[in-house]
Amino acid sequence: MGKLETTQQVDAIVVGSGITGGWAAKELSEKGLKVLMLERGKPLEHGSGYVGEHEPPWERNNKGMRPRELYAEQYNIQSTSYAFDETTRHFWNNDLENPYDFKEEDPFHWLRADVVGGRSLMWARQSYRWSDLDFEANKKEGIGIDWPIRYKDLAPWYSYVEKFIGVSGQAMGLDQLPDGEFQKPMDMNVVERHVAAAITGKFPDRVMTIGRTATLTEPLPGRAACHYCGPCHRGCSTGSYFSSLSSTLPAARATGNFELRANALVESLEYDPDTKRVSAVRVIDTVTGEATRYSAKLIFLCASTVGSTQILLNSTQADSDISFANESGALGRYMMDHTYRAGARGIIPGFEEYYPYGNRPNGIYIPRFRNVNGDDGLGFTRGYGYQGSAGRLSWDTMSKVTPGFGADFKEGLRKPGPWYMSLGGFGEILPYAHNSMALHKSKKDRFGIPQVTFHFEFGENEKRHREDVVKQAVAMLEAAGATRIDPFNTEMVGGAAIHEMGTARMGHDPKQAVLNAHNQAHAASNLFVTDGAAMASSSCVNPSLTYMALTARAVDYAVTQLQAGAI
Amino acid sequence: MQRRELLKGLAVVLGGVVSQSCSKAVEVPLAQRIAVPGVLSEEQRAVAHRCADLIIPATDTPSALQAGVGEFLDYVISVWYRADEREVFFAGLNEMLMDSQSTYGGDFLSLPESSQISMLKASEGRESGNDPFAFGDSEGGYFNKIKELTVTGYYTSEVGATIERKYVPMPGSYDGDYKFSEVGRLWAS
Ligand SMILES: Cc1cc2nc3c(=O)[nH]c(=O)nc-3n(C[C@H](O)[C@H](O)[C@H](O)COP(=O)(O)OP(=O)(O)OC[C@H]3O[C@@H](n4cnc5c(N)ncnc54)[C@H](O)[C@@H]3O)c2cc1C
Ligand code: SF4
Repeated sequence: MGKLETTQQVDAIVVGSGITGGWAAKELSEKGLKVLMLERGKPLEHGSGYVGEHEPPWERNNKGMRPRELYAEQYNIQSTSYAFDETTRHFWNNDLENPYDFKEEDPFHWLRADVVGGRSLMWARQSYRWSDLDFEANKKEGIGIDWPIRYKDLAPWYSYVEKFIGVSGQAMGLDQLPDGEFQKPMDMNVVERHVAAAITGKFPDRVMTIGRTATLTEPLPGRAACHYCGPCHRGCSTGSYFSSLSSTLPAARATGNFELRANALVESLEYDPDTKRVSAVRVIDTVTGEATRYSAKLIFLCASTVGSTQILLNSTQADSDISFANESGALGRYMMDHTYRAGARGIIPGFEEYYPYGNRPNGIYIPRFRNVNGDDGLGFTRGYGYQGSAGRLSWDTMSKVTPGFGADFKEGLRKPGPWYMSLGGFGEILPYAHNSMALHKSKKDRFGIPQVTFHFEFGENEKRHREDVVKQAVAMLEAAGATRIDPFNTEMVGGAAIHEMGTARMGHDPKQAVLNAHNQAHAASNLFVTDGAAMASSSCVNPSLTYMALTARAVDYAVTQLQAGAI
Repeated sequence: MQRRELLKGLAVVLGGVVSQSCSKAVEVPLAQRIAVPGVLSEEQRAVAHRCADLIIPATDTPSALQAGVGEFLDYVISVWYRADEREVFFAGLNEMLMDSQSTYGGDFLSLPESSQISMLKASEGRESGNDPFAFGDSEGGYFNKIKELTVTGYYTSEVGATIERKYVPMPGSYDGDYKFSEVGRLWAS
């Protein structure tokens, strides 16, 4: 790839090739702009890059055992994810090579990819719209700052995004979880339907539905409907789930306006205070160490919440250690995630003649039912939703409860064990100023870039809603006749839900917010940040669909402004 | 490790509820994780292999050793196990070997199958039962370890996946009301 050091050749630079970067590149290039995407990760091809896809269990490295020493030394953070193993390791960041400042006493799990495609490869594809319950909450409660947008601003962009990525799900007509442009829903299994009926029977304000997932049940151009092989986080060469590699990057490429540079780590942005624009992007080649500068009319930061804010924090002006984008003092603060790893599971007796066929890459969803119509008086504000599934226990568990050994033991394991149902809550975390990321004063990475350091704690509101998450999960399982109910509420760690967001929030007032209502930096008219950094609150639903809608909307605005000569 | 498999089974596809103790293994200091090669004597190896075939013998489907579990055991015991795990494994194994001399007056390997089964049963009896429905960590001694390894090695082997179980790598559809009678065995995929 030739050096593109001049402004003329590129109209727009997109930093990051993950879920949001892919969208920015697709939209910008389809609108006729020449786009250069810069991605710190290694190159990866759709299909051939998915080396773990469909790998039979008997062909795995290390006889299928996790190489524990390697993980502890080089992947101590990434290996905490359920989606990390030898079939996916090549997608993830090497924590030894690319560290951040991790403190045992104040832990934060920064889970991230290090390849083209970002976390769009490993994500679990759950896709839910926000509602005005979410967008209005900060203002109503005087927490954080008001969102500069409402549901109606984003609704058309949700539709636009959903049609392209393909979201399967069931329309429910719920105000707190607006319906989208759905492909036909996947099925709940026989036990999930039983549990769903029991829950609504006992608690009329609660419903359980099949998950809304960016996984195709109907084909889209160049992408086949799902063949239920699972697990998906190894990659999907039929493009049946949405990833940058399967969907947005091919669309961008098809315009002829798109160029991708992998191994290109953005170090910082150069700012011209006179024109109030970003004048250049500083890049380091992660293989050669060579430094390059690029400039463009538009810059889109889509390097993920932490990635984008790291770049902004590192973009200081001459004679100052303060970022040009931090006039508000909010940069790096008001970080959020979701609460996670609280809920319950139990055994559902009966239904023994049933044994589902196929690996459905999706589970069930119980939308938020707390504080939906005003304050329920439970001692916490906002709410949570549950994800989960029912299935039958298999040899791995049953071998442990079946005593003995020999022919009878072997024969006994040939039948699946009882059905279980699990419910795990994802809860909203409020925006607290002290939950933050910053650049470490002395620790640098191998390219001399200051390492990120985190401070993250959970407030009373989070602790209280988690207790309710557990209590209600137990109550719903009881309603469904579950036995051996096992409540869980494991220690919380910031970042562990992998829904980290905030740190460059949107807001009308440049004194309080980093970005305006269109994800445009208050400080620089040609700079847009459209990933999770922009969030002013966290809702309780999985966030990526909202990031995508914000990105498509921001590109539309940016290009209109550019054409009008306002940028 | 089985616990990890268990949790994986229970974890929702969405990653909703994997318990944090999954990551326990990686928190153990490096010094304790360094493998000590060459610790498995020929006799110990042969006994472990024999036990695998007592746990999963040949029936209408092949046995553990026929499925390649022997290699799996060798790998895990001599390479993958941490020193502390290996110590527990060998302590129980050696205890069984000594009992074999004192009770039956002969080497474990030379005993008739019925006596070997009694010995392994005695080994099982020495270990407290564990309750996976309690979703707790259960480490176990020699018997639990050899049983866990044999079962894991077997079900993840080609034989265990394609002959003992039904392997369908590309199901093509999902049927949440499928009848067990139509497959008659566990899915492997
Ligand atoms: C296992 C797992 C399950 C998940 N499940 C869900 C789910 O069900 N639903 C949901 O909504 N979300 C889910 N998420 C979260 C989701 O993946 C993220 O919200 C989403 O990927 C964010 O998109 P992004 O573009 O901001 O960041 P990413 O997809 O992470 O992409 C950012 C890209 O920027 C690159 N980058 C970073 N810094 C730089 C730099 N300085 N220079 C150049 N490039 C840089 C990175 O390498 C990366 O490729 C899950 C995540 C994981 C890991
Ligand atoms: S389950 Fe469906 S989406 Fe997932 S990898 Fe298989 S085909 Fe692709």
